[in-house]
Amino acid sequence: MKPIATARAATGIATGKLAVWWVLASEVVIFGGLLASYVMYRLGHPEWADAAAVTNMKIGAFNTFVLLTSSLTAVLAHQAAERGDGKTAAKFLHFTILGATTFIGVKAYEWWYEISHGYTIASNTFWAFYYSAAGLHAFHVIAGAVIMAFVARDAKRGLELHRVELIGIYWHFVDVVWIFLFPLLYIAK
Amino acid sequence: MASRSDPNAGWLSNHYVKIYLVLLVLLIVSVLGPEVAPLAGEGEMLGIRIATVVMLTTAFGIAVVKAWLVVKNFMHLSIERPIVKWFLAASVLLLALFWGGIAPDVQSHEGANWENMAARAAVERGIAEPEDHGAEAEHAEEKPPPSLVPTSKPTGSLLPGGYNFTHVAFWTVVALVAVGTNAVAVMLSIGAGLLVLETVKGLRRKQEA
Repeated sequence: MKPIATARAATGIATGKLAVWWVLASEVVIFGGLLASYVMYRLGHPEWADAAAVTNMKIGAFNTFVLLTSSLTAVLAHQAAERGDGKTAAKFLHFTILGATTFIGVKAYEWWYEISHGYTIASNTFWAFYYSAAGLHAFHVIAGAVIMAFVARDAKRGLELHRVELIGIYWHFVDVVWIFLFPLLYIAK
Repeated sequence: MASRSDPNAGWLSNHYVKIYLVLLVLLIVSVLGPEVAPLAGEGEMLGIRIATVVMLTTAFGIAVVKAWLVVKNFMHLSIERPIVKWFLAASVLLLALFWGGIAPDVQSHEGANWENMAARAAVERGIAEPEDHGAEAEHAEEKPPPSLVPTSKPTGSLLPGGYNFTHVAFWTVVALVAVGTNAVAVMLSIGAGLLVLETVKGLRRKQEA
């Protein structure tokens, strides 16, 4: 028997997809509230420019490139799934997971470097925001990669191909959040 | 929904690859922005340094364009059902209320009859000791934060009802905290309402058919 999220669509939109958008609507409030608070404080505290100058824009730009590329592979997986080509969809999802792993690896190096130079979450309010926002985002990247591994496993067998689009929508949202985090934390010095 | 290109055509003719290449170009522009901005010199436009305008445009203006390209082309929001757009609009409205209620007290450090001396002191300390990032926390422990200290400034910006702007902002924030802590319940209520409306619409369509 198919799960209800697959079979039912009372609103004209599959319940599974509706649920993903519902989650993202709440994520907009979570990330939006965090980023809005950061911007408000940043505007009221010009001295944060000194702390912001420490963040490495090249690393941030590389991670942006990685996430944009992983978004491309996620949407190509969706495209393949719509054609019913589960194996190609799984292959593209694996590329996306590779992107997520690269992103987390780079982030881990970046944090190790910053922490080893004394910039910790307790250093001042800028660093508290920095680690909270980037950490919450990294948590979403890890969660997305884990879910994607399960979806790819099924897709490879030609099962539950509609889920490729669902995890793709989530993944693009994670990309969009980073698109705003990048200028806020790395460019605005 | 995703089949916007012929899968047998070359890579570069794929719609998503084209969007990706545009995104990469925009990323390069946003990275080069801070390098190019100083070339604009010390000139001003509408009271703001042109260099600052260039930097903000290449950083945040391009971020908005990049986000829109991803949301429209990769997430396919533009061809999604209206109920999805309503969800997102409700979230953005909550954010706007949050910003409107809190920004006046956070971004500025003084109002009609108050001064945030702790914030001012933090700014002064930060500018005076730019290298020592741990200093702010240490100083904060030494000096108790006199956060909102009444001053003898005239209450010139009275609103109808005898309230001044700070009072209105305060109660707005209280209301937002109440709404914010119940955001999930609010979202669920809005969503449930929309579901009922959409279901009724669907039933009507069936009956008419």
